[in-house]
Amino acid sequence: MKLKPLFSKAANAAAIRAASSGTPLLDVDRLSVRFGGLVAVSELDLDVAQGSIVSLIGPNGAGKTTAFNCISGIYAPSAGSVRFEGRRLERSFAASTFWGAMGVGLLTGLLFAAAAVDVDRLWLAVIKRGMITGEPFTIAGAQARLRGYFRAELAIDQMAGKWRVVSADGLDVLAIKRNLADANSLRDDLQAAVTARRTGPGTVPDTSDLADVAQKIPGQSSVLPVKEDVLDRLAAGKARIRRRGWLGLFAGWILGTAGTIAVWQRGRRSAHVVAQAGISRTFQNIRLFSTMTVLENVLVGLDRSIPGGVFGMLFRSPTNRRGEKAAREQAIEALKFVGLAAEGNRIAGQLPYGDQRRLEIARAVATGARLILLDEPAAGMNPSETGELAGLVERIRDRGVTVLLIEHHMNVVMRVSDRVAVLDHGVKIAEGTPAEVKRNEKVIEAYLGPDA
Amino acid sequence: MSVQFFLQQCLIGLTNGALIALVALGYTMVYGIIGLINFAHGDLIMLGACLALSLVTALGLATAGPTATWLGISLLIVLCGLFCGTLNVAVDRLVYKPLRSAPKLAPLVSAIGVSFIFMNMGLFWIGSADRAFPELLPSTNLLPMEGLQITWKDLLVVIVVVPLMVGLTLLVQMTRLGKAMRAVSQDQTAASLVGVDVDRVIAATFFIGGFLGGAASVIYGLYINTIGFQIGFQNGLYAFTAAVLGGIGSIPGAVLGGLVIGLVRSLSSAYVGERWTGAIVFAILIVILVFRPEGLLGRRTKEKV
Repeated sequence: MKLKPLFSKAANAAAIRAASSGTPLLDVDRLSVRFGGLVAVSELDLDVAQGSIVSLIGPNGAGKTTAFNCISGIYAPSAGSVRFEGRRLERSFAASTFWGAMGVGLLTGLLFAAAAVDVDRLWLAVIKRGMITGEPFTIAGAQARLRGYFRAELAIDQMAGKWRVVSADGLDVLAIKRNLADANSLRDDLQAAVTARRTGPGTVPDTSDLADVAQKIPGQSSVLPVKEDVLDRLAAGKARIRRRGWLGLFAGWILGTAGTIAVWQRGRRSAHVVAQAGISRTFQNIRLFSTMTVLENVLVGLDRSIPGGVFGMLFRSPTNRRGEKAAREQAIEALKFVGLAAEGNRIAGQLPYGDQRRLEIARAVATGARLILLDEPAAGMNPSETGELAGLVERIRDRGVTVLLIEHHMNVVMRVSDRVAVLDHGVKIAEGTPAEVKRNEKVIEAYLGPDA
Repeated sequence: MSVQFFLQQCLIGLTNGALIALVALGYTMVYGIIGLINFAHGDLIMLGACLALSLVTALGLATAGPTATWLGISLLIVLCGLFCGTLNVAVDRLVYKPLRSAPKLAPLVSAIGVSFIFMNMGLFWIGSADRAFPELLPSTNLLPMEGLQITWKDLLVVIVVVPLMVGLTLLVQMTRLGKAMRAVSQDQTAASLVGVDVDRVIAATFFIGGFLGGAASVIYGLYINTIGFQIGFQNGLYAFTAAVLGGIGSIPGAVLGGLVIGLVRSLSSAYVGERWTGAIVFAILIVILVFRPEGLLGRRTKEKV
């Protein structure tokens, strides 16, 4: 088992295909972001070609970082689209999404149905009666009792040494007998009457069968007279419960499914989907995992490349072990690339500022991203460090990784960029080669004011 | 008031404390990763205990031989662990996940709601009266002396709790999942931007916390021998206290906090009186928090500038 190399051939091939067919690697189309009434980015168009370095510059508050946050999936755009390698970066509607929504729908439906059919009596009919009469609990028995409950069938219940014929929920007592055999035969006869009422829709209640039943009740042991309307009431009540149950199931299912899909829809654009598609980034204010070691920071970036499930991890399966080892080598390689190989075991938060910036870049590089967004990587650096950083950005490009850069140090921007886009108040005011942008009057005006 | 009596109380305190610690881990892990005090955790464990009781009845363990009993207990721990873990993940998916970007109070209040739902499920499951949990393990003394006794019950707590805690520590320190968990707990956005599936890591955390809770529920039943639908509230409160005492978010902290609370409880009920136990535990908690607000092993949280 070999890990995917950092810059896999397949990925590169896809990117090169995209480039040769004229699609840019990243295609930002009329992107707008509004926070309430404030327009942070307005109709930004930006194409980033494969293998290039593109800089986004502009005065403070021009919306550069907002654009970055939108591309990397932290914010959802108010309008417009971001395409990477020709695809929108959203969670796709997978089979698991479908089954998840169905499952939640079913669960909600069952809950609603349970509430609608009066779950307490259902429980009594299905579980507790079995316990009272000492019947062993079996799945088949419970199923039969459940069916009985919904079909308004009759049950036998023991009470103070006597046997009662009761409705399935135990609420209607129809007759009381001294011994079980009598009670059973009476129950069967009454049951036949109930079934006749159920299967003959619209028929006028037939009194003759009930008269039969009544005759069969020996005077002494019959405590309650059986009346026709008891059975009708029983049947009507059960029909109502059945209707309510189905309605509850249906309503709950619709609500649960729709709710799940609504929640899923809201989380479609998530940062890790964007990251797994091949975009990684660094932050203006460094966001390292500061209590972890330098090496661990980079390994987190390699997380998704390591195979093996939870059990693989717990019991150190060979696949998992090899994966961890390969990831470690890749992480060390990424650290060497930015020149931090010697610092692997230090705690990230204790590194000097410049090294933290480089570690963040190493972590982004290690994810195997094909596009890296660098948000002011040279902020707070002195001229010699800035020069080094420009070299690093160029070396990233030389590895076949495209770079989109936000930077205020103009010497870095002018040295490394293939193209420069200028934002002012959320609007792109110029785009071109560094030399073109430098001469653009609008740009000069934005930076220096209209009188300059 | 001999030395033996003191040792005996310490022993009881430590076993109780280990049990509290196992529950406290569930609180502390979830807090560590998403900053949520999962008030439903105690009631989750109550449901685990209900399942354990139902399984003991269904499997007929109360009358089984010694080998079958031990096998049965292992099976119970695994099944209840899986049950509680899965239930915990389901709750996270259904309730907490849609509220991930909401203000912190929203999931907190939802957790209280889930706690009540669980309590009602327990009420429905086992009824309102306390139920006896069968004594599956003999209470014979394993030590050849009077005055100090260790039973199989005490040993069971150690046999189950210690490996689970060692396993958890290894998982968090050594594996890829552990690294991802630590990364997510520090910075969710940064973690997701370097490709970590944050929702899955959170789900894994909920599962592990729930699994430990499920194991704790079985041990609770076997050790205390009485369960009821309200045990989740009281024990959850003690476990939550242990997590705060040790420094919420810290795994060794939860273990230490659990042991401290267990010891304080048993010693104060032995030397001061049962009715003072709660007051003493919480008084000590307050004193410790006055001097170390971040808990015994907690890290001082840096203010974000």
